[in-house]
Amino acid sequence: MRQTNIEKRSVFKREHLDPSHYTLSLLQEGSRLGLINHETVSSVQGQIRSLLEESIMMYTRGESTSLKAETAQSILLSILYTIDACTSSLSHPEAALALLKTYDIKKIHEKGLRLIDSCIADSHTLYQEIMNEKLDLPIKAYHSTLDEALPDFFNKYDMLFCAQDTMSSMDYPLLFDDMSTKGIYYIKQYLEKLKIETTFCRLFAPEDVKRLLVNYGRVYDINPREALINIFEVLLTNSIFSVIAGNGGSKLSISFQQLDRLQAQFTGLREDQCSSLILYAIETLMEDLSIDQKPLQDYIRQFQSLVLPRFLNALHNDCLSNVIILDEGDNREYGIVFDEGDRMDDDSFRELADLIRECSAPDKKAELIRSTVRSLADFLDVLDGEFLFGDEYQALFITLEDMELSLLARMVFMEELRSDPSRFSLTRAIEKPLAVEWQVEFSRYLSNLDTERMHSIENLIRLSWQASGSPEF
Amino acid sequence: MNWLDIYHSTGGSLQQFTIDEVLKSNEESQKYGLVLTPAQAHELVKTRNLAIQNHGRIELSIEVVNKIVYAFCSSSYINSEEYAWTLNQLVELFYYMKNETEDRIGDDELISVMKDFFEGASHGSLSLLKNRDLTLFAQHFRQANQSEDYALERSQYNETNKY
Repeated sequence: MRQTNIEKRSVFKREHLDPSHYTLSLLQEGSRLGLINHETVSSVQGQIRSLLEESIMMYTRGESTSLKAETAQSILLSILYTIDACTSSLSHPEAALALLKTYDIKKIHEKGLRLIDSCIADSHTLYQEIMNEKLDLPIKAYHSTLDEALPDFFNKYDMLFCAQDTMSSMDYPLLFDDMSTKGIYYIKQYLEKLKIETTFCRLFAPEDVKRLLVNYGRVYDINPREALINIFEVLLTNSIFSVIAGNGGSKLSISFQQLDRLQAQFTGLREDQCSSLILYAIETLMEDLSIDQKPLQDYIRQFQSLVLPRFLNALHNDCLSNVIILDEGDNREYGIVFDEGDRMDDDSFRELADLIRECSAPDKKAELIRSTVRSLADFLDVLDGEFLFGDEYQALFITLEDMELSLLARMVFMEELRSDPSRFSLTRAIEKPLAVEWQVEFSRYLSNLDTERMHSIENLIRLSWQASGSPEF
Repeated sequence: MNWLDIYHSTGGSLQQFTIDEVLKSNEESQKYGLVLTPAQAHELVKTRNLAIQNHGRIELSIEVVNKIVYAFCSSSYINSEEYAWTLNQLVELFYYMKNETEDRIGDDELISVMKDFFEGASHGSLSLLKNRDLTLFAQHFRQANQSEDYALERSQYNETNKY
């Protein structure tokens, strides 16, 4: 339910009115303040009871006089939610109380239904607008929210008997989500904010955004494709510090040298001076990006209160690179990390799995996999799928080139690499006990390679680690 | 403020009214030599209230009790000595079956199903009616609904993923 404006001069105190049970709290508080008498409150209760009876009969289509208590409770909450939609649309609590005192509750409920209906229509429009501007980024939660969760909500939303329900699996997190609202009003605020965030994200070059997200994944050791990260927040943070670093608001990339300069620039400044500098950067980036829409401007300005303590904390603990994401040069993994195009669809993958199982010769299996699989992610799925046994793995690994072997090795020996990349030794790493079958076989395969080949793979691992760090795919 | 409690609280003041309503059913049942005394009607209302409460339900009227009386008073399996006791059992069984059939069957239809089994396969035995015939009926009913729901979900899923 949307927040109601409670003016300073109102006799109602904001803390005594519950926005999520607005009408009930209004009656309670109005009664306490002597603004509504007991008879009127009883009359309102009686009218709500009549509405409940009518709704229950409608719900059972007149075929049943009884129903489960939780169903009746849900219908009652739906009625109250709908009445709240009407009362909270008025600007003052006094006006809402006057409405309850003078109008039939049934009429107020009908008006509430019209408002909810209109809110559904507005939300549909917002949804379409977002879909037209949908970001081309392989972030699973973002796509599943837009392609599955929201259409599912619209299909299932029941404004008559469950208007207060927000039964949806929207995983994509917003920067400023208002979880205190429910039902369609929650969805509308979600979509309004998602639209604002999408508009902002579209101001940057898609390749720059993808690159930043890969670097973000590296810093936090997560796969950006799978993680529940707010893209807007990652972009806005780097954009702000990009302005301070002298790049301009439209650039997201910040180098090691620039980070050093930022560290020097902020060190010794008082908190209020840091705050002013960040505020100045926010205003500059809005100018640089020609952001003139008031809702987007307000949303961005709101971020200052979030980023400032985070930044000060990182500055204090000498870990600015956790807040400001560094661009660590050419990212070799980039093409693989984000190359969705070459991934097989589920049906094709199942077909391949069947063919592998049917094939009996190890070298034929290896050939089949090599000729069909185009992406590293699919290759790993094949390995994890346990379609191969013992020597069949060896037959597959023998077909891989050094670069491909180094990519697999980076995954298998990630912990060893992370602990001390400069002293990483593949010869030592392969002695590590492993639990996953394909990794055991992989380690066995490497241990049989000659020293020269081992050095070559080890060098490739080190090079790619220096270039991009995280081995997430 | 719990509005459902407010709703429930009206039950007490309506007690006498509902007993009178139940006693009206005697007009029909006495044609078959079956009559409820005020004390038995009171007991029946108590059974109904308890059954509703025990089965986690809410009811808007006393109508169902009278519908059960009208449906069963013509049964040749019910005699005057066991009339009140049988009605109490049937009322309790009715609300049990409302839950077992997941609220997907109307009052009239459920009473009709109960009566058909009582007169047929159960041969007037309340034990067979509850523990065998209606239990089997509820199982089959739920299975049929599950298959129907699954088919509907599949068709909706296929529709959504058509393109």
